[in-house]
Amino acid sequence: MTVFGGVPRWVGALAALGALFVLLPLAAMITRVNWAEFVPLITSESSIAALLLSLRTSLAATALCVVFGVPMALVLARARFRGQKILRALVLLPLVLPPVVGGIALLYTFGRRGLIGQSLEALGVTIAFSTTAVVLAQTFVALPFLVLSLEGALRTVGTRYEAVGATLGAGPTTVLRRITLPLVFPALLSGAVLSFARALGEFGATLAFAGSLQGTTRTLPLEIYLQRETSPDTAVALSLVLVVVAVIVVGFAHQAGSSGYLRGGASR
Amino acid sequence: MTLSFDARVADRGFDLSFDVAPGETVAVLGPNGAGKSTLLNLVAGLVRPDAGRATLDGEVLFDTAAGAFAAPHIRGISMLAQDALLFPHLSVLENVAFGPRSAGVRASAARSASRDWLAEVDALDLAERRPAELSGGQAQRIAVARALASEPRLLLLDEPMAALDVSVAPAIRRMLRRVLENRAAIIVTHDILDAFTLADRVLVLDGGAIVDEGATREVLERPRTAFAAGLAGLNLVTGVRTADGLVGGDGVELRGMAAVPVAVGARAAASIRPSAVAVSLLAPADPSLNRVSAVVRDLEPRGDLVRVRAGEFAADIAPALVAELDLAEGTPLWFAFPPASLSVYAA
Repeated sequence: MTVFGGVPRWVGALAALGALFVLLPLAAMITRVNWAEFVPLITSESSIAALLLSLRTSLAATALCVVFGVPMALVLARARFRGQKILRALVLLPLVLPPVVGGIALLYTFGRRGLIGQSLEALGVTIAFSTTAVVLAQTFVALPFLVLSLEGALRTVGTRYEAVGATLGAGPTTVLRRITLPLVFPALLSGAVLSFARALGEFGATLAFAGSLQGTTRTLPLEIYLQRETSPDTAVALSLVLVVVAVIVVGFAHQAGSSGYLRGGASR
Repeated sequence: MTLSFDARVADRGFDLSFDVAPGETVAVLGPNGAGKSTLLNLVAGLVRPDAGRATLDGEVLFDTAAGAFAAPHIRGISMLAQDALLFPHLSVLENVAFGPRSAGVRASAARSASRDWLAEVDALDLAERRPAELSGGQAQRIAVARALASEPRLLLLDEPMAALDVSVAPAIRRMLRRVLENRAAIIVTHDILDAFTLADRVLVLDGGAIVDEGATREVLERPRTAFAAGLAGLNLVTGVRTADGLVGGDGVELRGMAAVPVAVGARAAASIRPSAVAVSLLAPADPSLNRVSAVVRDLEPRGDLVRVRAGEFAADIAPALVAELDLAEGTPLWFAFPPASLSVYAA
């Protein structure tokens, strides 16, 4: 049985071209994978160091995104104050900013001669070109993903359940913990997964702000970029690892986003 | 529990004050936009008034002059809406236990209290279900149990049966009558049956103000506003008391029976059931009847009768008679009714 879809053929053709444009480069890359050397290539000392550093920093960045992004989303979705629209636009700026610009901005904030870095330096804390800098760079570019998806979910859920909770005697923190967060949990999860993916792929801001020191700041994307010159086979193998991780992440985020109480039956 | 309420909200044109006595259930009636929901939201603390003062048992809910405002969760007032709004991520039992848990009751005690409340609304067998697995009527029972489990000093009900199937509404209404007995509550409703079944007293709101109030039977059987008369399904005439009845706005005197003594010359209202009004094309000969001529405005089938509206009156007559008299919009006719069926009272 065919249900009327109403999509003109030429639209379908353009859609197919678009899909091909996304998938073809991936296929092209896979054809260049040196399968015989694949395992040794991705388990070399520098590869393992880069992979572990990437996972560690991305998880830390994701944790920071949750800690600060959830309150930001709540304030943007629930509070009413002057300049709210401007604040939202600015918070989402890293989404459209070239990452390398973000890196330079971070450098002038946390670098040795930066706005805050200078004072930190006096206290004996150096952030630039450290693992901390990697985490900050990743958090900077990944935060809007979490804020955006959570704010949308908070608006969709609305305040009706929260009002009911309040009239049942639950204080604001109890309402947040027992009603609001459980209701938006799928969106929080998918937002966190997207933030993790963005952090994992971070390149420009990291390079500008943290540099490329093996084991300290050289994450997987930086390692891939460097290996491309000297050992294309390693670069391709590591790229494939990132692709697999990305596919798993996207699948997971999609799964999390499609479950939950936001669609259907929630009002009963 | 005594509620004393006085509030104004400028941009909604809301300005009214009323009290609720201990154990009293007050029904709030009124057309859409009259301010019924605003009233409940003000009492619950979900909306802040521009000016006013309200107290519950002497505790201040809000007092704009003193700059005081109590947050909803410390008021001891729970609200039941049209939709049950059960928390979808919690089981039925956890939903009911939400209030006690928020009040700091230990988990085991909260669960056993919740079972008691579920039994109270005949829904103990649903305890382990998820809200998504419930019918509308079942969900509303649970919502009632949940609201009561928080042991509110005052219960607010916002058209609790409006979203329910007509087949389940009677059972919910019976259940509400049981649980609202001796409990202070304010119920917003469009249904005259709710007002009669559940409320001791009625407030009629229009344009953000109270236009009529009193004991339920008093307000609905002797309506003074077109809205209350419409809800009660009565014809309403307002005017000035005469020795035999009253003179309406059009200067015609109608003879009626005073239900309570009203001084001649005072403002008076009179009502009559549409079923007590007879319709004819020629002027009725009997001089003892009240006779009113009018032109048919519309005809509306209502069950096995047809409501004929003409001028200020409506009459319920058999469809056969409508056909026999060949009534249609614009047909001139005469209404007639005996003075004994027109009840006159103070307006």
